[in-house]
Amino acid sequence: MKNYFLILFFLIPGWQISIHGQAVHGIVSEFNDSQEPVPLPFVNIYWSGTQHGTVTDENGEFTISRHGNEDQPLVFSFVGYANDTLLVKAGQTEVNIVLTSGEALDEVTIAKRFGGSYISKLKPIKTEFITEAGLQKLPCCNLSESFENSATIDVGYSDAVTGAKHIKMLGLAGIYSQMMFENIPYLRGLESAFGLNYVPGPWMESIQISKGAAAVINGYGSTTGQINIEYKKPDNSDPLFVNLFANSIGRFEGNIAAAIPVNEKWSTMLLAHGSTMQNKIDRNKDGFLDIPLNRQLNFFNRWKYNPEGNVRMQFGISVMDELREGGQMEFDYERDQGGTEYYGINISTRKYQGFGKIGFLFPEKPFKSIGFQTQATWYSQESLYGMNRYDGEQLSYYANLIYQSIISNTNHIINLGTSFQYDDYQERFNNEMFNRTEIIPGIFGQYTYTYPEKFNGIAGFRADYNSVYGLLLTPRIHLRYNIDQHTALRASAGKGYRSANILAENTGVLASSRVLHFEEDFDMEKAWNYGLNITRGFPLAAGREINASVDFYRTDFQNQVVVDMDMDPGGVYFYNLDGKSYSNSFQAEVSLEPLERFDITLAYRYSDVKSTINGKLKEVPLTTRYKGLLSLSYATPFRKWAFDFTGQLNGQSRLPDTRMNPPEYQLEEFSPQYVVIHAQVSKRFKWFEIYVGGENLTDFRQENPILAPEDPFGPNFDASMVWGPLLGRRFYAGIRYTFK
Amino acid sequence: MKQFTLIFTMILLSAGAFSQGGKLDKIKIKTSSQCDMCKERIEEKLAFEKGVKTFELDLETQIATVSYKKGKTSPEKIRMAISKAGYDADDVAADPKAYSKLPACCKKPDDLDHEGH
Repeated sequence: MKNYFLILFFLIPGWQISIHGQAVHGIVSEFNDSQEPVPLPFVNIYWSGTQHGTVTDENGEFTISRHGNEDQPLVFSFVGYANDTLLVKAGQTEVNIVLTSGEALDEVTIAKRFGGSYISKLKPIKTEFITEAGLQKLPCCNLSESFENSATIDVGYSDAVTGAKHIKMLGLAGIYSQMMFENIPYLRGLESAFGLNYVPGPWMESIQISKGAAAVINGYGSTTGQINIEYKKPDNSDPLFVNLFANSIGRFEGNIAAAIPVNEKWSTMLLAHGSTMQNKIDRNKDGFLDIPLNRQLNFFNRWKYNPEGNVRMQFGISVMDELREGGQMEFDYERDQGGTEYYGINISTRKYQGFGKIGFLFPEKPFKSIGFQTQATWYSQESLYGMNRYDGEQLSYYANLIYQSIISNTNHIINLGTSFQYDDYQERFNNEMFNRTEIIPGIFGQYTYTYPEKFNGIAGFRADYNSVYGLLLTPRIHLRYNIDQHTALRASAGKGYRSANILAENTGVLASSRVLHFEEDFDMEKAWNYGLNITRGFPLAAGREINASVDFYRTDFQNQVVVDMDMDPGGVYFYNLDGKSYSNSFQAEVSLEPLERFDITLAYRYSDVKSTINGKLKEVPLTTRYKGLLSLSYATPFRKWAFDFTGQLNGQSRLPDTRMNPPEYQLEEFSPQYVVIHAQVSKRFKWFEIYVGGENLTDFRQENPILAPEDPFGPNFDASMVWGPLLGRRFYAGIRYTFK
Repeated sequence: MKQFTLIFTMILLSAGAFSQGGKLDKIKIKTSSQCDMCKERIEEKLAFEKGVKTFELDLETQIATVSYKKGKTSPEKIRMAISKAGYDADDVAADPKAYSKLPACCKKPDDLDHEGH
């Protein structure tokens, strides 16, 4: 049956030629790495706005008939390559064209001019891109501070003493979204507690945030979405980049990025980061440092092998070492650890990681490829939280093999693959051991269907066998329909799973006197996620557009490890979900460029997140109900001067129930709504750029984030209930030096 | 509040710093640009060229419109800068070394047939 179809498919154009007489023929090619044109078979060609098309053969040649005598646009489309449209003049019978690879390349080029962030119109999964220019508008410094201009992601402190930050997406904890490093799962397990602080801002080339359960290729983890970080690449970066930063509370950071082309085939990149903050600050005079002292060293080295031919290879290693010290002002680790004189925090973290990727393109068949990715991580954290000791060690290994091919033509792409994940967690909390080893082999398949210019759909399925939790089946589907050339409608649905690492994911409660109660053995967390999104560009004069996007996502948990801080303020209870737990999240966003080089983005997000806590369906605590964002950017010609402004409106959140505390330690039921403002000015010179700015200009702080700071070893001490900024107004300055 | 005013004033003052009261000349130059990458590369080259104030490029007509301060630079110098970026500028040919460094989409189709053999 299939062969019959193929024959018909190739016969029809010929048939039409004999009837109408006029035809256009030519060759479609692409450039290989020595800049020689090589033929591209299976390229879709059709007259724009019609279904009349053909496909190139193994020699990249095609023949297509034409009607009429006017100039007509002919579209060339091939997955993984930038679409091209050529105006074929009346009477023209030969068209030869060279396509350039990299659909993403197209979008990245546009982004550089937008200079910030944008929502992709091409991808079937709703994806928000933050580019390097967007990262440079932000006050500071690492991944945990890179989402200030995103309405999709909320960042907050896990507690008031360790400086640990967590993100929230769709109103749900960041652990339900999957963090990736260049499409390899990243910051998993124990590392999720402080991991955001280990990715320096200047190392990144871009961040892609996609909402809703992601494609099955990367695993079963992304329930609410996926955040993919891309570091600078050796073949795509300036030879040397140096950045120095200092702010008014005594934080200093330095970054170096060096891209070295070794020879024709090999290139290497070294990324280095050092930061230190040794200034003790206690603005609210509660006796505790507002932010811990900290010093970090971080190195990353990658090697890329890009020869002529069909193999691509990459591997790299990274090493990170960090020390944090906090707690009361007088605390001295050597003298006071383990005692009850002064409360202190001391967290020492070390991480080693290596990764490798190999891609193999089948010769003569650029649509067929095999890719292999692997990563090994060793992570260790030794920490003191007052009288509590928590030590954790994690050894993880990941491998993923993906085969890609097409069925008859590039409108039907299939991906098949297999993955392997090994995680060994060893945690000790005071004298209790929590060891767990998970071995998870999996297989997956995904089918992508494209109806050119109109529709795109991805259906995927994966099956994993988790040695602790059993068989996990994950279906996912993503659809994109172009209502017209300016409007994309997306829908997605999928299932996601997570195995909880209770201690590492709730380090906030370790900084309190709450007694930890583990009520039962924990099942795998499971949830369904559904989403709908419309993205539309409204064309304006001078080729500009207003981009608007509206979406709604619902996440329904079938099982979840509930963190109950309401039952009793002196304890925190962990148990499996018994009842409903869900999140409904609505977001609307508009961005436009009303004047040349002046960008405005306005966004609003509302989340309704409830869970059955202690038998009752309640709002999940410490989750902001709504967030409004306004971001303005203006640059002068050649971007010599740039001015950036960000204003956030953060809504109320329910605070954990403290009614059973003595009256002086009772909190309000809700936190207040508050505004945070950042602003920055930067000036570019030929070889360097200087920038100065202010962070949290309204100086809004959560005045007393620590409950009972005067009695840290008493029963009411609790530093885990943080809903707002801990640091007030800060000024900063930095310099970026680029050697081209 | 005081700091807020300080920053606001800082921004306003810097806005005033580059007000251009003087007269600007404009010139149109035909280039060999072909894609968005070309526009960026020429833009980067002209950014710190003394006296150049603004730059526009129409990719369809390949014509660059540059405004500049008469005393500080001249059409010849601007053409040289575009040539140094790897592109033809009216009758000034592209600097060969810079041309060889261009990405594929920026190179002339004829040259691509001969290159690499």
